[in-house]
Formats: sequence, structure tokens, C-alpha cells
Amino acid sequence: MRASRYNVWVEQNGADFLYNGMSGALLKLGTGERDALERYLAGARDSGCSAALLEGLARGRMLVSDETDEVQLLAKRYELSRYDTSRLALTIVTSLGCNFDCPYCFEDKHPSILGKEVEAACLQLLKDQLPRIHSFHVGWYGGEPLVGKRPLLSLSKAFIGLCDEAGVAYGADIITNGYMLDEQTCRELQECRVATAQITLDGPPDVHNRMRPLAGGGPTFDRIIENLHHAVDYFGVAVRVNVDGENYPRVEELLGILAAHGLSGRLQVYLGQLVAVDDGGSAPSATYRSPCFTSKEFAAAEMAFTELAMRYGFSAPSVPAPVGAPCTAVRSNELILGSDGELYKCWESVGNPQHVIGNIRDYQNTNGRLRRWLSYDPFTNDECRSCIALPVCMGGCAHHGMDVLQYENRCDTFRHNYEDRIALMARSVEAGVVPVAVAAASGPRMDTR
Amino acid sequence: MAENQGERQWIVEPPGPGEVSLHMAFGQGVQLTEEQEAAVGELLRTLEAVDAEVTGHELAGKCPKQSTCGTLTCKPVDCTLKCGTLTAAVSGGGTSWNLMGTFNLGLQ
Repeated sequence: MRASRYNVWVEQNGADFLYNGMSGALLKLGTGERDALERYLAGARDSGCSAALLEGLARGRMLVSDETDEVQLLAKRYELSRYDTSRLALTIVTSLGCNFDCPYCFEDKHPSILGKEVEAACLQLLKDQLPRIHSFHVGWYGGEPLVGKRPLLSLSKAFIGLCDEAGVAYGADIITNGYMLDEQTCRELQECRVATAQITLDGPPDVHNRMRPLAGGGPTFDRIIENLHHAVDYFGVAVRVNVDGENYPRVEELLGILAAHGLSGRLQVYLGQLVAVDDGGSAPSATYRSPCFTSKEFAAAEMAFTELAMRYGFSAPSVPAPVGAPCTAVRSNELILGSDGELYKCWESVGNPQHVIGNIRDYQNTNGRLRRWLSYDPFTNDECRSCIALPVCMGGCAHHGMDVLQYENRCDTFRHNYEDRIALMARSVEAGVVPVAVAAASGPRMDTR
Repeated sequence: MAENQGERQWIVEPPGPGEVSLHMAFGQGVQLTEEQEAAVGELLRTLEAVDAEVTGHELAGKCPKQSTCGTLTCKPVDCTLKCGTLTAAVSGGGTSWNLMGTFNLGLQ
């Protein structure tokens, strides 16, 4: 028996904490137990290590048998989720057009609303899948998905009817800029079983309005704040703050504003990393020249921000759960549907004709570009195979992993801040912030980004 | 050094053999509708049916005769057939052993 290669030890106030990425479990050891364990693993006959401790460590996958190949196990976990046909997930672009004009947007947008013919083709795809799936999940996406509210409502109603009749679980979430999220719309989305909304605010008003202006110009901050007040009553809300070196120093001002609006404890706030993606199209991000963080810098910023957001009541410490194949791009039974019926595998490809893999009208007849995504394999990458973050990252972003310029940005931040993440959790436990014995999710987590 | 087991505690607890742990967060005073309860039930059935890892692994250390198995040579099927104890201890669906293999704690 030996220690797992995915163990992370931290010490806090004299207590030893052990996290394991294979299980996502975190254990606070008793006094002297780490020393006893080390004696046991060194082969001491009288190590003083109890059977209960060893059993617990094995259950948390912190100890593994000598013959266990953990990387092989992860590869199996990846393949099982990559080719899982028991669930279907679609990201649906109801409108490629957007009412915002953000200078860092990675989409080559043009006005286009998902039409009736594409709706019909989408419903046919679902009907074809229903006999073999247990669950169906939709992510409403754009452009701005609420510009295409008509097809969103129409498709939702049809999806719910078909899934309920077939006994298939249905759920949805939405990524929206929040500008059109009035209370009536929130009510309608709730009826459409939208469970969570991701809304972006990039800083206090002057920063946000510069980075996320209305198309044609005009501020958006105040309207979004107004909408947050009722949105939190209808579904879970996660506020994403896209940062680079320029706006990051202003993020605490945003937290203060949200807290002053009484939103502490009612929504989550987290950071997103801005990158200057250039896929050869004419998306604004191709010419975005602000000082983007490296992945290592962003990981450090994320840690500092989490502690800040905790103080304002917008975040809680957590340790990452293990994942399978991490996103739609590398899962076989998931697709992104463009508003004109075109199909993609990656969110960052939306609007770029060079990344279209097929069309919903003939979805089973995809072109050769699909193979690029489904053959992406982090287990052939020596850096990934030897990385402590592999169980919770699984190669990260395939899109960036296949892009020479963005290669380093493919990774989950855990690669860089894993000790700090576990230490923050341990500090929080010692300070009584985290209730002890949070149950870990069973098996690979399915959605990470 | 003496152990103090009273201090040991799971902060994030993994599911045990034969167990599935789910962490679900709801607002205050929220009650599940029948539909939501049915959805949770369906989720559990799905996990039991399709997640290979839910069948899990089991500690050979629970077998009182495990010391008769040599370190790293305790083949699960042989062990099960010989002592029988592990048959009842195999977790979940329990018809197969996953890639984690078995564990021989080597305790006397």
C-alpha cells in the first residue's frame, strides 16, 4: 500500500489536513496520525497507525494498493464520461446577435435569431435521443440568449413536454448579460426550469460600462444591478467578473456595491480569466490588447479574490471535486447549436465558420472537424499525466490546449494554487466558517465550465 | 506517538462502499415537490445503474482472514471464494471490481 499521487497535505494551527483529488475528499487528521502514517508507509512494524485511520484513508483514496495505476483509472473515468450516451446536453444559441459590444468578446457576432425550422430540427434530434437517455440538459447561450427569447420559450415548452412524457429528467441554465432580465422574464425562465443564471459584471460602474457597453454605446451597470434584485428570487445567480491586469485592482469596489445593495449571501461572485483569443475570424478578442493575466497570475488573483469575496458574503471556501471529460467540446453526446442551425463543439468557436462541425438538419452527418475534439486526449500529454491537478482538470480547455498561443491557459487554476486552495479551506474549518463533514459528490462531476 | 482519534474528522467526506453521497443545497423553508423528489430518485437510480465507480471497491482488511493473503497477492475472486466474508462486503451492485483493485492493510 502506498500514498496516492494526488494527495495534498497542508498544516493549519498544528493540525494536518489531507485532500485527495481522485475522491475530492478532505480529512483532518488527529494528533500524531500523520507521523504514524508515515511510519506505516515506511514499513515500520509498530507504526501506531490504527485500522480505522487506514480504512478511512483508503475510502478517501488517499491510500492505494501498490498495483493501482491511478492515471489509468483517470483515463477510464475520462473515457466513460466522454462516451456516456445516457445523457444529452445541448448549448443553444438562440441569438448570435447581442445588445452589448464588449471589446474582449470571442464571438464573431451578427444578428440572427433561431428560426422555426431550426427549432423543428432540434426537437427531432431530441426525439431521436429520448429512447436512450435518462437526462437532457440545455444551456441557453448567445450572443445574448434573451434577444432570442421567443425560441427560448418555445423550445423550453416543447422540451419539457417531450421529456416529461418520456420520463427523462430535464434541466436548464442560462448565460446572459443580465440587461433584459426583468422580473417577467425571470418568471418565464423559472417556468422553463432554468435553475441558474450566470451574469457578468466587470467592476464598478465606470469599469463595467467601459468593458461591457450597449451596442452603439451606453451604460449597462445600473440596469443589471436592478435586475439582480429580483433574479435572485427565481434562480441561483452566479456573477462572473472577467478580469485582466487592468480592471482587477477595482474588483473590491464591485463587491462593496453588491453588498450595499443587500445581495450578500444571495448570489455567488467568481472571477473569469480574460484571454486574447484569435481564431482567425473577426471577433473583437482578436484585437484585445489589454494586459491579460498568465494562467499562473490568474490563479493567484483567484485565490486573493476568493478570500475577499468570502469577507463580503459572496463566496465560500471549497475544494475541487473530481471530473470526467470536462466540457461539451470533448463529450460525444453534447453539441452546441448555432442560431442558423450550424453545430459546434466549443463555446469559443460560436460564430466562426471555420469551426462548424455540421448542421442540425443533418446532425448525424458531421464533418471531419468533430474528430479533432473527440480525439483530444490529455492522457497523451506528459505534463497532464504528471500534474497534481489532473483528476479535477482532466486536461482543462481542449480549445486552448490545441492552440499554441493559448496552450498555457488550458489548465484549471488548481494546477497553480492547489496548496493555497486546501490551506484556505483548512483555515476556514479552524475558524469555524465551514461546517464539518460536507458530503463529497459521488463520481465524476459532469460540468465544470 | 499515541493517536487521538477524537480529533480526526472528515471535512469533505467521500462516499463509503455501497454509498452514494449527494450534497444538495436548498433555500430556507424549501420543500421538494413530488416532481423534484422523483427527479432525485431518478438520479440515484441512474448513478446505481451506469456509474461504474458506484460499484466501488472494498477493503480486504475487513476480511478476518486477510492476513492469510500475501501482500499484493490477495486476488479478489480467490479471496471471496475462499473465505466468503468479502462477498457480503462488496459494495453497490458489486458484481465486479474496479481498477482500484483491493487493499491489503497488512495489519496483525
